[in-house]
Amino acid sequence: MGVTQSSLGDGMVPPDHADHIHVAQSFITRLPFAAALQMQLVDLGSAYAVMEMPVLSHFLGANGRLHEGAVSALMDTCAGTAVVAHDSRPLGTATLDLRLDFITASVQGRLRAVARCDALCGDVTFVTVQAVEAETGALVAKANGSFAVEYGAPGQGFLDVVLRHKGQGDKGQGDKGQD
Amino acid sequence: MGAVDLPFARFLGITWFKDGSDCCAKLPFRPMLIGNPLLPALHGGVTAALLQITAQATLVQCGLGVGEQPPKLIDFTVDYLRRGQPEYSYAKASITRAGRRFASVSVTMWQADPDTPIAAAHGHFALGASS
Repeated sequence: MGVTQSSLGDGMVPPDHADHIHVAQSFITRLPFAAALQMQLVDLGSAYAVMEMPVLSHFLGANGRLHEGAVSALMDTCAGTAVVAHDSRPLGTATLDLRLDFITASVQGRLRAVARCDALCGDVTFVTVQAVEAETGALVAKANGSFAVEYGAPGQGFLDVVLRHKGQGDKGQGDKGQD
Repeated sequence: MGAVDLPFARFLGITWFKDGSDCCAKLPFRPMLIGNPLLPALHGGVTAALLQITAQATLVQCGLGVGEQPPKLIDFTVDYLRRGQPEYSYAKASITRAGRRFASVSVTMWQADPDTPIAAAHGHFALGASS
């Protein structure tokens, strides 16, 4: 899974890609816990998302290392964002299960998560996520999970809303649902 | 409990209480813990963190881990069973097996009704003995 690779399918993401990310970020900031952990969307593609968060003193566990719970929170949020970025335009998603392997907790600077939906079967999707130290690319954790996918009325998906609010001065009403 | 002082547990607002001989975690609701403001529902990361911290603290409470080195999480699997409501959450762990180097721990999390878990998890910890 390429960390910097932007896997954009179906020409979904046009040259004004940065605008999409900016608008999508404004929705993620409306998730209080994502905001509390200062999560930031770095890239968004077809069923693909990259997010980062800073390693702050109050996110630490024992021995001054980033707590696995904070790592889990970023990976869960990034996975959920990859789900709602699926071409089938889901409205929201809920985590059914998440299985995490913790490789190292010695992270400096920023933690980056890269998530991709591997398959979507009906209303369940399977996501793999990797967490790396942003600066060095050192592998911190890897996870895979299954997520329930929720659809709204046509045109009401997360991406529909992002595309609609793009260029409208970012007036989104926070349609994104994610546990 | 205090055997292991975790800044992230303090940030979330986790406190501890005794249920018989068992050590339980209590997490009061705060708006910050919401993942989906429309439902509203607790963030999945809050659930995972509460379960992990409870498992880790239970091992420390039982004197596992070497010296100042608390048990280190190797892997963790969370089943999200029900939506987390904006209310008090609780968690309790049970040690399935603790050997010299590794421990296997199960944890459940509930809210109003202890018999209605909202999440269940299982994880493995390294206890710090040299491998």
